[in-house]
Amino acid sequence: MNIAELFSAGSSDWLRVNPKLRAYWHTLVVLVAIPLLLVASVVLFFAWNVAVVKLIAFIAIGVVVVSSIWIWILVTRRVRSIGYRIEESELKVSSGIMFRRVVSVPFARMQLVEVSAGPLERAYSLASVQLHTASASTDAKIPGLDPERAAQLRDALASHSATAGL
Amino acid sequence: MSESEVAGVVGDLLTPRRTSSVTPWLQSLNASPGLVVAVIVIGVDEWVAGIAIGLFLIGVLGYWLSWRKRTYWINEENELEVRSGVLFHRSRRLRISRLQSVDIVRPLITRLTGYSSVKVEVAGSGDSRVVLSFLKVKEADELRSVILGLAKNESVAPQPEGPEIQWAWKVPNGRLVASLALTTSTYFLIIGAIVSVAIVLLDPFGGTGLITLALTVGGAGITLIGGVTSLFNFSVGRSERGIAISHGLITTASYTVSPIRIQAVGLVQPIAWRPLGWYQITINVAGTDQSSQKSGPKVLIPVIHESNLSELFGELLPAWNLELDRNWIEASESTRWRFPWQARRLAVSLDSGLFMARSGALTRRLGAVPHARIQSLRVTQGPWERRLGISRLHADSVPGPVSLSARGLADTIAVEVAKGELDLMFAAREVTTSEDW
Repeated sequence: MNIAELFSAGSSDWLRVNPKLRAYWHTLVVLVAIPLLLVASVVLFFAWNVAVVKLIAFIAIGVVVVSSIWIWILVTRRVRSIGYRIEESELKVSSGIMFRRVVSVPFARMQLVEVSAGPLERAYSLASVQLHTASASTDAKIPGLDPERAAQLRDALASHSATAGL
Repeated sequence: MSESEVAGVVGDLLTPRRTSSVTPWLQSLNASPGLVVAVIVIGVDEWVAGIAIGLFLIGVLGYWLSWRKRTYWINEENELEVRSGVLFHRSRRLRISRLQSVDIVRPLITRLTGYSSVKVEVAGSGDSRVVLSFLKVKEADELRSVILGLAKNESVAPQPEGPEIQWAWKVPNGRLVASLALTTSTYFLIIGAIVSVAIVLLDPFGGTGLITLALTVGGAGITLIGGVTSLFNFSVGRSERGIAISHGLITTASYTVSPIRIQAVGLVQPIAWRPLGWYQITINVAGTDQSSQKSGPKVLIPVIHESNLSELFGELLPAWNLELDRNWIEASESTRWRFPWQARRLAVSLDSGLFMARSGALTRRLGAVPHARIQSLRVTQGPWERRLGISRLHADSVPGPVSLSARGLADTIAVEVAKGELDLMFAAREVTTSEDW
């Protein structure tokens, strides 16, 4: 196994998340960008005659627009980079394009499995599964699952952890 | 004392009460030897004697005010609650279920008068000790046995009069002060001093240099004093209940930690300690009580010479086999482009028992964790590391000062080490129940 396989990239035996996650994250980008742009516009409207403020507001608008577009483009690859697999005695989760990571959680170390779905996630009928161990740095969150899939995964993990002696 | 008698005395203790009314006088007498010496040195005449008596009476008044405000009782949550403070009210609660010890202390003056103090200590950081002064010897004995009786009735109670400390290590306070003075804040002090001198030389008549110097020295001094007061009288020992740690000058913190709750051990060595061969030992402790916002101990021993390490580990963590001279897998050659200062120091080591990682250029750090106590294993790689063909391996431990990251591993080696470590983690899967961590 080489490092690329370790980070799931491209390998088919990893389970993938629902592509709807893309639409959900795109909506989040818009929901964050719009209020920022509104604030900048209001500032522009009232301080059109103050050169410094005008300049800063334009720079802010530029930064927000450019970074939103950049994140918008990255979201697709980001979603594709997320993979997980349930092995004999561990769960593996991998993600990231620039900063890649893979985390392996032995079932015996699992403390609790958390299924969560925020209001916007529910609107897209998505849910997240997160694994907790005694360590705060265990970063094993799988976003973008169908609610039924999330529940299945939770039950599967719970039964695994029960057999692992938790 | 029989059970019913305990119940009767507990009944008494359920309402707030004061210590004995002679307390202010005894406390003044206790503090007055200095006064007597001063009178003798200055010479006895009417004025001096008058002032001395005046001071004594002022002392009595002060102690009386604080005595009047100090009440103690056993509250409904089975805590010893002590309220005090003339201007600022202060309430302290010691959970009897966490009792460490109840001692009867008798300073000289009380030995002559038939009074004594009761010192109650519970496990935990910060305010874990109160001294109640003064009680009649009989009252003190009663209070002691009531508290001990309550502690024994509590299901989670450790045995307060449990086995003696079987082995103990004390840190000499002189060495503690020296070691803390030689840590990182010292570098800031030196840099600050150089900058100040430079400013003084450039501008001899301006005050800026002196102000800078004062700020640096003051800042470093406050850090040092903080460290010293918190870690003063540090002692670590082993009893049948676990590892006992206690320290502190103004507020004493004492803990008893079962060795199984120690999840990771770290060795820290600031650069100035290197010629002296000193190390600090830090620990990650699992299952510290998060509900009461008390954090567990973070330091196993603040300073120790390398020649004593094996004795300490042999006594406190015999199962760990903390041998530092081992087969280290060093960082890849290209790591110096990512971690220029510490590239040569970075290394990781696996043996049958422990995962170890070391790092640090100026301050050297080393972390060790048994395979069975690694919660999860992560491999990460940033864009620059990817160009260099290196990855990081993190062994996730419970929250604490020790971090276990192996950085700068060549990709192929990182994959190998990760696989090897996972195998060891599964093999070492010990029977962990939720109580163990």
